[in-house]
Amino acid sequence: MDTENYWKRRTSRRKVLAGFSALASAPVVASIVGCGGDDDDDDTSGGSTTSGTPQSSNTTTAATPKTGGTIQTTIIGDPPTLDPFLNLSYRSQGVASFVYSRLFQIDTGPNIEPGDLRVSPDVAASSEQPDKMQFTVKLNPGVKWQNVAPVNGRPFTSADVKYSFERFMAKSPNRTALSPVTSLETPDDHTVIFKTSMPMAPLAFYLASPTHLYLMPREVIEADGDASKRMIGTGPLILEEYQPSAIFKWKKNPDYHVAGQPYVDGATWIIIADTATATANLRSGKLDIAGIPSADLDSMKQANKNMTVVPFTGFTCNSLWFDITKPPFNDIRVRQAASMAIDRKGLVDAAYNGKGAIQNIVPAGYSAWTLPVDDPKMGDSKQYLEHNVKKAKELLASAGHTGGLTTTLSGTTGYGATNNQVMELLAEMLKEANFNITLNMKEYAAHIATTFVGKFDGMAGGVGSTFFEPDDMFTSLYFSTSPRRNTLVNDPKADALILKQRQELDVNARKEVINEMQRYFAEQAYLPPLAAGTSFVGIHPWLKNVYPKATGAYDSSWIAKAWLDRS
Amino acid sequence: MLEEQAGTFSYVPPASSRFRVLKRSSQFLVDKPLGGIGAIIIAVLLLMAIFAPLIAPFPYAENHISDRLQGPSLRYFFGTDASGRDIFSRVVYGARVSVVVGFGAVSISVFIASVLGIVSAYYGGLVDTLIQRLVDIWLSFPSLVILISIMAVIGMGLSNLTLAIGLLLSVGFSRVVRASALTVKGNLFIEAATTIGASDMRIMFRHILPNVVPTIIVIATVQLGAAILIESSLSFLGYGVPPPRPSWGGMLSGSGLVYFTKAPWMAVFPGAFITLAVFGFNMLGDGLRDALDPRLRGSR
Amino acid sequence: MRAYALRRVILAAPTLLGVTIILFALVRMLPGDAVQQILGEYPGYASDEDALRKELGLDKPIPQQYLSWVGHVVRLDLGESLQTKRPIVDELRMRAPVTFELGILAIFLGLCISIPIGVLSALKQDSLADYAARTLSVGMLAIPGFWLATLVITLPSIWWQWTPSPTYTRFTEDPVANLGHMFLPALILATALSGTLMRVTRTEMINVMRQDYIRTARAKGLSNYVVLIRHSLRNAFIPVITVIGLQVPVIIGGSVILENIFTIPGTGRYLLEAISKRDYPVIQGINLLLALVVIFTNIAVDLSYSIIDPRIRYSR
Repeated sequence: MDTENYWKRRTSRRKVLAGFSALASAPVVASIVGCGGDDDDDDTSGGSTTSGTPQSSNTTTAATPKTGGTIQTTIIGDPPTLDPFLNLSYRSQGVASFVYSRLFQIDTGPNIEPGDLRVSPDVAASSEQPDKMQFTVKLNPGVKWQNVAPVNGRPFTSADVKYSFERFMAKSPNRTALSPVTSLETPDDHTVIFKTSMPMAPLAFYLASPTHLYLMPREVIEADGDASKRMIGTGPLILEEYQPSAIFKWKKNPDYHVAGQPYVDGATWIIIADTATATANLRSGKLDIAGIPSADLDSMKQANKNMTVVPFTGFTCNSLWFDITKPPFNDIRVRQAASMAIDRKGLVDAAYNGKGAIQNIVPAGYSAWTLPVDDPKMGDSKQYLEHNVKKAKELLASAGHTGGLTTTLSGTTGYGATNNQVMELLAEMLKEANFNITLNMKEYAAHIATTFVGKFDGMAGGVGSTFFEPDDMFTSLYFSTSPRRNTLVNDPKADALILKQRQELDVNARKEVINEMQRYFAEQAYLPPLAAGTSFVGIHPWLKNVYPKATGAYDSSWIAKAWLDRS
Repeated sequence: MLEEQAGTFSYVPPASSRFRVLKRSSQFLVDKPLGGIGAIIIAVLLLMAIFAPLIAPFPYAENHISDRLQGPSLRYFFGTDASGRDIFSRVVYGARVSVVVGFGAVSISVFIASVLGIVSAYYGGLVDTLIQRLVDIWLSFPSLVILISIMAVIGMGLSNLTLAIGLLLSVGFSRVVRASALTVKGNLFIEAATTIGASDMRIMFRHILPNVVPTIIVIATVQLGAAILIESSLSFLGYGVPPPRPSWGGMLSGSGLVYFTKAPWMAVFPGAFITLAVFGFNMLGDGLRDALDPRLRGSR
Repeated sequence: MRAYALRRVILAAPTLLGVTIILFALVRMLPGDAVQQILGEYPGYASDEDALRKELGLDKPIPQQYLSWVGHVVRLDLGESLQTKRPIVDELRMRAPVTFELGILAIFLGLCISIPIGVLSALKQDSLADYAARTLSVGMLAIPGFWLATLVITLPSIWWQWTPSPTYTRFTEDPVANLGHMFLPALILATALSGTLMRVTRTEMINVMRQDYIRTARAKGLSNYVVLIRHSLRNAFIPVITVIGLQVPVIIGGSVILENIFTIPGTGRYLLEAISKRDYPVIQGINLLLALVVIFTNIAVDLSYSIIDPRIRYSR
């Protein structure tokens, strides 16, 4: 049944109608719908695998970009706000990345894997690190604000960076990431110096991250109070019209600092709340690019033979959470038993159609940082991530729960069918290991206000938060003062390890620390990882030069390089 | 006007002969074939719900991951879902949810609606005004929205869902009962009953109620189906019967939609049972209405 | 009659008051209040719960919050959305007409489908046509709207690689494109509605036609057509109107789902999002607006009774 599309068999007309003019199109790639983070609707969420094939098969015979045309794609819902510093939803961040530049960006290209989040300059021209506590950025002097009142195309300067940085530190929920920055100096119009209180390995990444420092104009924010009413930046697109729950219309910024870009005249984002509707519109070609739920993959390929489908693994930390403030889950053996009760391979097979990855503490999407579970470097900790019902029962018994442990597993129906399925599977798996589980599925808002912030009894789990840097992930989920902990971890050793990896500027040495953390946290089983499904992005053959990143819908800056050839 | 209503004045409350009632119900299947089909469907549904553990070959939550997404076969009559659970077993257990939600909610609804509607119509004046104002307030909220809000307040779960749907259905229902009762009240035989000094209770529940029963039955049967449909709509929005309990609506709107292109049987069977059940309730209701309406009696 | 109408409108005032109180209370009874919700999902939104509560004006006593809300409402100020910080009135001014258009289209289509079939079904009671019509009407009731909608969008995309345009166009911009976009969702809303209306029409027609006054009318030698229109249909129309009135909130509820699936920027989507985000002012604002609509529909329905059936009098 795997490669069949049931409904397709009913019509033979498809043979006539199928196949868009099959141009010897250079398949391209892009990333749009992505892993959902905190408020995605399932299906396209989550990340996965042993991050797929490099994109070599997708590389294109370099053609000269054509200009003109409008890219049509979709976003699942209205951004909670247009100001990216007020809300971390990917909807707010993804929209922001059209209009606002960052100092750096996440590089894309035909030979860069979706999970490879290497950094390249955006409005920065160059950078250097004179010492461990200092990071100097030279700005591209040719950057101008969009030619829209009140900035009217004035030059972009270091003062703008300073203003944005200060506002970021005052407003953004992500500000803790940059809290080691003690001062930001602007010796001249095109130089910015970050001084930090400790060596900061992830600093350059945070300056490129699509969830951190967007560069926004002082004039607008001072006039409006925040950036939720107007969007004016230095980015590739200008917001022409936003009709809530219907459409975003963008036009190209003719003064964009990269010569010739963007190639398209504009972009249209249709706000389609229903996954099936979005999928149908991609299938019919009304959308140029969109995410594909894994269950629709076969029917999509069948209908669009020339579509490029790019798999990528997301960064969402799907896991179990425990109430470790009191028995029974303050006992490490009980947590380990729960972790060993999980058949992660079974989760991949059942919930993600076999297209996904078993997770380690660092989710599989972080291809640069994750340790595969069976990597020798996992050492003895490997056992805690392996399905072993017998051992789980033994551990549970040794903790005094010989007759089984009665507890609840809380989750939410708010992420849709796939997450529901995962929760039901988890309940059954835990039951096999003598946990007498009552599944307690809450409505989304109640879940976010209680379970998600560690207010629950027994166990909980499901879709977790999304981060793009291990430092961000560890700090948010494990640091003892973090407000974003699902399990209320309060462990001095965890805190020490987190600070250690942050200050290790040598990449290989830092990777060793992070390996140690994966071993340690797997053994501690504070947040036993689950599995993640592969996300898929479908790109029609007429959309060129788009290479999706695993940051998914958080980052839309690919639009600058994309071009259309509908001929 | 007067002569037109003379006929209704001569109306006699239903005869109490049990024998005739029995005979009539056996005649029902013959006289009202659609109603008969409805009755049979509902009977099968009820049997499924009652004997679910005996009928279902597998526990509804049992996974067979290696057998996932299989089409209908002799082992899995309706195929399997994405976790390899037997859809037939889940549909059978889902009948329990539908029966509980449907009959539970409609019982609540019928009771509240009859009392509110008849009392309001009969007394009129201040009582009517007061009741109707409360009904107005309640009715002013869009149904699905107030349901979601109620579910959010009292929490998700089968009994809460039933209560919420029952409350939702009852108030609008009482409007129809009132409208119907108003028409009945305008008839001369009510005036006559008043004249001969019948008590309010007697008039309301011996004279008005039987004449409103056809309306109640028609609406109640529609509502039995509606309750099942509402549950499925709520499931679609994430507020239905929460897992792990299988409900037809949940199967249809959740994984049924996700796997629609890959494994349509996951949606087709629960969907077919929803349609069948709604069809059955409505047809039965229609048939009963024609059979029970006193004014129609003896007309054929 | 006019006095009754006037009284009815005046009586709507306490209803509205009741609506505001219930709304205000219900919204605040939702577990997981906005403050916890916002801090849970977006930690760092404010320094702590108290600060955020203060910023949102939720620190004041509830009666005071209520009075200040009502005070603003009277001045047509529904406040700002907690999430988007946009004025709710502006948002509703854009969205409400969209939902109303969808609803009115649905009712219109529903009547077009149901009345002829219902009447036919009643006239030919127990004929094959009657059975077919009844089966059809029940079939229409028996399919969940979201499912029908998904089929309508998904199957053509698989069979013919065609989908209805996902882009919503305002009526004022391009009425044809707008109606084209609205037609399918309105039709789907109308399906369930017409299932109900068809049954009620049939039931009431049969009911009325068995009444002795109709027999008398026929006996007097009035033509079937006259009997049908002047007497039967007219009387049968009361329950039909009642049901339409009752269906208004149902239609609004149904539009929540269809607006989502068909990408229509109406109030339903706004409301759903607001509920899942505990955006109190938005939930209140939309409900208030919809409540107003429903209240005036109810008045219209009540008044229509006595216009259609003179036997029902309200003056006492």
